[in-house]
Amino acid sequence: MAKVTKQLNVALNRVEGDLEVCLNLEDGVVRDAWSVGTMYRGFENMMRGRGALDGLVITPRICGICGTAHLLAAVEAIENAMGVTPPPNAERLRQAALLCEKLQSDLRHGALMFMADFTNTGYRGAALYEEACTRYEPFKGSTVIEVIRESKKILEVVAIIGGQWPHSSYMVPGGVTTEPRLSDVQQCGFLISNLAEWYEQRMLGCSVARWQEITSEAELDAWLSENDAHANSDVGFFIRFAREIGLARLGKGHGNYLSYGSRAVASPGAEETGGLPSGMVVHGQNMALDPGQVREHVVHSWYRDEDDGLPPGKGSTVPQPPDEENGKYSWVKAPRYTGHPAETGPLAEMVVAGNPLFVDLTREGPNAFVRELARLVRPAYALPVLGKLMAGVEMRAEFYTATPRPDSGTGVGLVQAARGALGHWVTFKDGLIEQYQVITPTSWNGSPRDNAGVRGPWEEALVGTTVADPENPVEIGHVVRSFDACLVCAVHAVQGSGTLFKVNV
Amino acid sequence: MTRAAARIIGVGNAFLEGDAMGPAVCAHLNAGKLPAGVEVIDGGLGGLDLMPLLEGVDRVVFVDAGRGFDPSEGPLITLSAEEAALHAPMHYGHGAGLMYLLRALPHMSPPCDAEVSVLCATAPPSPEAVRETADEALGLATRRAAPQ
Repeated sequence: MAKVTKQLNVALNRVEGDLEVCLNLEDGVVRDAWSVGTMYRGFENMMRGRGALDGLVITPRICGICGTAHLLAAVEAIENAMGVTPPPNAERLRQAALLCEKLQSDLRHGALMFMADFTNTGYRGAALYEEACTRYEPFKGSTVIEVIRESKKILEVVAIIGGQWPHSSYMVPGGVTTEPRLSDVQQCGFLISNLAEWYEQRMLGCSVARWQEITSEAELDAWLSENDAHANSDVGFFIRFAREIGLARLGKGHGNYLSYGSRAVASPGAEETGGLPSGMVVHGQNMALDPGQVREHVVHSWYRDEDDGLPPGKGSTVPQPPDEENGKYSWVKAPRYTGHPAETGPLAEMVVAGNPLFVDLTREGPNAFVRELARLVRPAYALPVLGKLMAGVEMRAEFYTATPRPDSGTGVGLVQAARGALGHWVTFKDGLIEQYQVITPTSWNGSPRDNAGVRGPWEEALVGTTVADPENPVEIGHVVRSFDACLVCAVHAVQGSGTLFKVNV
Repeated sequence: MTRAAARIIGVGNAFLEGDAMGPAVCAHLNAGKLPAGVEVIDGGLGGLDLMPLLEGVDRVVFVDAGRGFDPSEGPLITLSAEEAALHAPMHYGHGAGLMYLLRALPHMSPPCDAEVSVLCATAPPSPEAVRETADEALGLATRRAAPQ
């Protein structure tokens, strides 16, 4: 029988279309994939020659969702350059705000984005389809409405910590500019406690302590069948639906994981809080994080070629007009760690931290199911930490250490953001920014091929995917969305050019 | 918290000219003297994240760059929240912005009791266009409600 080969361009960002995935389908199976960021970002060039502190105001606007993560990376890059350590109170408030941003993002991604695909008409024949629609139909589903309401409340914690909303600029070199009152801290504790209660009841169907007892796939199965509350929770439903449609068969990928982790906060008289291991896992081997191992490749990106991948601190961002003849196909660069592509995000965070459940679930490599499960249950690990961070704020201690403006030097700020490893690299000269490079999580996950021709993480994860209906390629959406693609971060923008045809998923 | 009479919220990307009208209007208004009870907030790229700003206020005017309108409608088009919500994407995404928020408004808790409108500016953010859009936004924010 003759092979049926076609090229399929899929616009994945439902609104702006700033990400496209180009696929070669052969008899309904993806044989190759190219991840295309369709618009130039250019923040790095915008930063050159600006005042040393301008990154604190400008870079949080790179993304409409991850402003806190960019603010934290920007301030840590400056502090790193100056050798400044902020007081524990400031660390607590910064980490707490970041966790709130991650919580909000995780909840919205699960209910409003990923599981919205479970209502796709392609699943009309699935036994759980009607229930999926009851829960996740856009603007109507019961979980959708609850998530819209609950994710709003957690923002109030960030507003209290930051003293304003949106565009809070309270993180400055040396600490934070806000000194919350005791009543503010108590109000944050109240909001966090309420969210935890809702999350346990609605999303988990059990306490976070019970969830944390699960250390293997076998124990996950036992948890699911333990009672109706577990099975009917949103996490329980996700597992049941995912098994019905074979989600774990999709999106295998390279199996390399990168996490920048987070620092533990130790205050006199308070319990040490937080602290998430950082590192890179390649073929099951965990390597300690060394920022000096990051390189950016541009052979397949629309930038001027460099001899080899450059460290971000020395990287250049010289755009070249798209030209289909030179093998370049994306505005996203290709970051690599010790030469390897790496996926990043909640699953990477779990694997690098050695979470036994997720280490077990990835024993044969990652997949779309385990990636999304990690995102859905990350709050079960983060909420207790968030409560402790706020409870440990010492009202009589400092929130800020006087810090001069940077004049010269280089620094890096590495943050484990909602979507994964986010890095800011900065060089100062004569009190101005001489060089600024940002590598977002989606640059890691959605990178094009590197100088050696190795595919980026979700390009690799797409290869081998069976697409039942090219007019409605829901499987492709599952794979890419399991990485939580955020090309608003990575490239900023709009448009795409379908060659044979183009489908929104 | 004191209830505000009106809040003008500019949305858009200050670094993309075609999308910069909302933030530019905020900068223009904040540089001058505002009528009593009127607040001006740069909402940036926020969508659902702007929901808390719809509490504690009688009237909200969103200012955004508009595209796709019939030129005969002029450079400034005012839509009610319900009219604007008709243009919302059905699915949430990283670019789901103001229209998604407006469509989600009926589900807000506590319920939104503000009168919400959207001022769409189709012209590029030249100084003159920014001034005209800012004047229109102020007018919407401060006009008296029509008698019932």
